[in-house]
Amino acid sequence: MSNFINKLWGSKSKASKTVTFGDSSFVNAPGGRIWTFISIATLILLWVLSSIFEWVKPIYWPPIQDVWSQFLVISSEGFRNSTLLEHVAASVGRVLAGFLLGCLIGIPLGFALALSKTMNRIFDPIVEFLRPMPPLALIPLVILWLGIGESAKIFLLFLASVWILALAARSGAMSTNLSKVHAAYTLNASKRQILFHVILPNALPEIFTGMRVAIGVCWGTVVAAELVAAESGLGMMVMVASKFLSTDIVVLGVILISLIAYVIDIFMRYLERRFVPWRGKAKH
Amino acid sequence: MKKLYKQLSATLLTAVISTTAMAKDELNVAYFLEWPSANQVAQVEKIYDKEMGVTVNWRSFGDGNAMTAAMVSGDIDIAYSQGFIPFVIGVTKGVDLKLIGVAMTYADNDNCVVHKDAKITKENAKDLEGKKVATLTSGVSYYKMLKTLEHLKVDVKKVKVLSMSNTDAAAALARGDVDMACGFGGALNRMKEYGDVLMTGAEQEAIGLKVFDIVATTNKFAKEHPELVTKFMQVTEDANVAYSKDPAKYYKTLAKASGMKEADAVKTLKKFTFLTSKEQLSKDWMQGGVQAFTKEVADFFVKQKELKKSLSQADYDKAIDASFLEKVK
Repeated sequence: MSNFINKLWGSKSKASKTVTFGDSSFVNAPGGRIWTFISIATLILLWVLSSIFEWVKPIYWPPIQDVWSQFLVISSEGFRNSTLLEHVAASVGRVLAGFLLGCLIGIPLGFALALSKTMNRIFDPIVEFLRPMPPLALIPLVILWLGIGESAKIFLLFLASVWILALAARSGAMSTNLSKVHAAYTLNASKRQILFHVILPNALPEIFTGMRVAIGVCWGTVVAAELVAAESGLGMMVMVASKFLSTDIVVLGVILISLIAYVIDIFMRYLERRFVPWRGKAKH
Repeated sequence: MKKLYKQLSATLLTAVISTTAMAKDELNVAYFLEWPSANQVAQVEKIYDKEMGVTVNWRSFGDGNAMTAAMVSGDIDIAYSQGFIPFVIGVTKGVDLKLIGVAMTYADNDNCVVHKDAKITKENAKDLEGKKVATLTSGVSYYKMLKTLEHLKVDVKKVKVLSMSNTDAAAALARGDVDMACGFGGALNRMKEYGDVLMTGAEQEAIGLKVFDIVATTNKFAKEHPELVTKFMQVTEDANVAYSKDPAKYYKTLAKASGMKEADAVKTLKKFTFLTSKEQLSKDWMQGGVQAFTKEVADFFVKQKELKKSLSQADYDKAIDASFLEKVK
């Protein structure tokens, strides 16, 4: 029982800690979930109250019961010939495909930028030139290059994530303490071993941060990417509904996107704990 | 560096102030690019500014629903040549819109083009079932497409309708990614390079398919600045009359104002009819015709399950206001 209370409120005993402010290890530690619960419950309560008392016109923000009834209708009857599940599956598939492609190219690219002088000089101007470009500005061009199939949408998501990942990997690789590299060399490590056993583990925390940022940006982009002639997808659903000023469907789509993004983020945090247990504890 | 900060903060401050202070020395009007209209002569020559005594900012939009959204937020005061369909959707959804005039009518400037390779005409239109069609799924093009397909007895549910912007739809047709694309203005001209229209404008008008753009404003703006609205309609009327007397004189100006090549602009302009205020005030238009058509379109979208429910005829009547046009000389 006391264990459960601790989990809910967070441990009261601070005896084990020397400082309480400046130590961010609580972020990934259990406990204190009551505050999460309170913040979400307050938001939902506000929405319910505003729906009951009709504080805002539905055109600006829909009442909660409208969103719920749309959820039921679209789950069973579908929206534009696809059910809700099909829309969700289409968007998740695109986001994951674009994101994984971004990892596949971006992370090695970031390492190349940090570890090879020639590669750095070749790719640095290209990366810096392309990085600030909003992928959405390219939509008409992407249609001309790749057409309107899945590849166009995945390419846009890839563009949204690849530079973030490249920069994260570069900065991660650059933050490796040189003495560690030297130590490994004195132990007769090969280049390959240095890469996989010294640099990669050191870069992992920053890569994980980059991945979490990138997948968030991918979700932001999928709505616009599905402007490129999508037949299904949450983004397409939101866009089409917004043209008809159906705010209830728009809000439903936004909530679903946020929920899915949140679930993915929880999974990433789990991976981070699993693969980078030393985060914040290492001495550089 | 300090100087830069000072400059930056000064610009930011003016930006904030200029958006909050809404004393009416400025008027924001929404319009379409690649959609030349006679009143753009007055736009270019700043006759609106002179007659109304305010600075008129012309803001271009890509679709009429975005115009509605901008009017809801108060950033746009008047939308010139907003599509009739976005207006119907907006009013039905409870947006505070007011139709104050008919900008132009057109049947051939908004249409569906079938790709050459698809070999589909109105005789075998049923072959469109299972094929891909690209269009902006909310505006006049979409309404026309639904109506045309309904007339040709094509089951719209079986057609794969892809939601795309007007210009993107033209690009998709050019690549052959879709078998049909529906659009308007310059994009429609580009579409026609790759195929032919499914039904001509005349054929569509024959089955009672009306298409026109409107002049819209918000109730709030019309109430606060009725004199500006009337003057806007007056300048537009004068420009329309001047244009109808000698169109060729204005082609060059209009092409430039609409961002088109002169030949393309002329092609588009020739398919427009700009109604005089007298014509607009007739039974066919703002004294009954538009009102009835508004209800008809809303009911059609309810049947297509795009809208949940339509309003009563009386509510639509309230959204259409000819009083400003009546003051035009």
